[in-house]
Amino acid sequence: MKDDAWQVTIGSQANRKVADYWQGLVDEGLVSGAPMYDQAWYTGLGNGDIATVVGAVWQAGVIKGGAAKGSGKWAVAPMPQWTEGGDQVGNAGGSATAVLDGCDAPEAAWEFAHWLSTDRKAFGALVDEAGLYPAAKDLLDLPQLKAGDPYFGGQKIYDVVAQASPHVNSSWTWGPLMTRTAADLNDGLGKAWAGKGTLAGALEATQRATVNEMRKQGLEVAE
Amino acid sequence: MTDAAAPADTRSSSEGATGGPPPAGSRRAPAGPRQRRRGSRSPLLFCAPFVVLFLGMYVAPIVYAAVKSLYTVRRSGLGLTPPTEEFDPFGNYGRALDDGAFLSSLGRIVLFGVVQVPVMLGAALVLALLIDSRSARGKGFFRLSGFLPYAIPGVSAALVWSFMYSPQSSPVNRMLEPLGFTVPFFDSDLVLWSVANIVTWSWTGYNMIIVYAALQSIPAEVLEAARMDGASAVRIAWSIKVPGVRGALVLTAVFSIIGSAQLYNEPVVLQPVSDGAVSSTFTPIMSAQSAIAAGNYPYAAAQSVLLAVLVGVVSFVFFKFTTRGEQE
Repeated sequence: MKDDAWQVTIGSQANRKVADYWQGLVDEGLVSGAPMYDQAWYTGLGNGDIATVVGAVWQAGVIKGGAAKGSGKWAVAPMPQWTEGGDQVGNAGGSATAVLDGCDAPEAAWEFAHWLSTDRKAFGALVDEAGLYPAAKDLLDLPQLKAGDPYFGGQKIYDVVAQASPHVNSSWTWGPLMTRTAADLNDGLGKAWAGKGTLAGALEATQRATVNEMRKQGLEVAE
Repeated sequence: MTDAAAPADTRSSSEGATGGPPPAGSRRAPAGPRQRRRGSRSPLLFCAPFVVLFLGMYVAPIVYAAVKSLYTVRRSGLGLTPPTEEFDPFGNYGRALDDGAFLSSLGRIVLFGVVQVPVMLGAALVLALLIDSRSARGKGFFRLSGFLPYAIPGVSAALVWSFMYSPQSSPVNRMLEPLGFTVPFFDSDLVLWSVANIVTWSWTGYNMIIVYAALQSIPAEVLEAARMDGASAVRIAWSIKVPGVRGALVLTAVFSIIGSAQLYNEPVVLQPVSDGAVSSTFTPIMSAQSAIAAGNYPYAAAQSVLLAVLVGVVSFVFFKFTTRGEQE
């Protein structure tokens, strides 16, 4: 492993295993055709057509906010594992508050960003309204993170998240051309969904396109 | 010309009556009572807002993009330092002409234009002729209702159409289902025509109005003479009206060619619900956008310049070809 070069792993053996598993679900007709965040998707979440959503913590806020009819029918569970007793967890999405180069008042902006992510009242509201989970460890005892949620049948959903969050794989990072990588992956997954190719093929094509574009721009790639 | 000059003369003489003679030293226009009262700088002042906006909003970005396209982006190592740009005039162009996704996006809009533009303009011409015909009733209603889709923003129209097409919600397919078949609007072979349908729906009425306006300028005595000679309505339409609106048809065709090349709103709106049939490089502008997503602005600029040159050449050739016989 070189320290000064990118490792592009989207087409890795491990990802291929995930893709093949999902390909099986698709082939058996177990994956909903409703485009995510489309009205049809929310309808499916509410009426039981869609039984499972794999997502990050904020997905709970999306489901709760968009599918009122699903109230009392949803619950939060840990990610399924490949090996029994495993505790592998990944991130999906996430947000950061950044101060841009050229900002007129960087100290004030930093102060605001710090307040937004560490103030108990400010972050408590974000938990309630958006289903966010704090990165600041001091906030882990927020009362909002201990309350049962009637939408999820009174489940204390953040207890599940609290167990998972220390295990998030931090050896992985978004790539430098992630927007393009995501668009390429989207194209490939779309084709696979339409029956022209496989999910694993989409990962391989995305790997090739990403490495190709990175090298064209002069970035060091060790594959 | 004489009609237009008459009221102008009346106005300036009445101004002369209330405002008195022009101040001494102002230059007199060589002909008659029309005078320039504020020196020769006022035309420049009137033009200035246009010229400034034209240069700033139109010429400058084009020049900027053209210059940018001559540089290639170079990052190094992990890319943690800002990228540099190297002068390499053929780098991006060479890459674009070898880029399968970009070339197929060009092919797609050429196919789109060759089919959609004649269909749309044909429909616009027929509708305009129908509204213009002597026996037509409710002309105002049909003019307005035909034009109405144009008043709906393209993105909103595409959203509504995406609902009509979506396998989950399509009311069209729900109605067809009992008959034993449905239309796969998002099939990868059909999706281009699903997009064409939206564009045709949006723009036929607009083109119809332009053709209809041109029909109004055909002299009544020519039409009357044709009727006196016993020409049928269809014969009049074919032999007098259609040649009479030739200029309007060429104009709308050039606009439509340019519009096809700039196809963007409709496919982008359909993309997330299209089950993968609309890729992120479906049209040339989307392809340029996808270069921007990779942080490669100069490559996006090169694709845009190639598209602009292609549209310019096609429009010019089309214009020359269709107006060839007119001066003779």
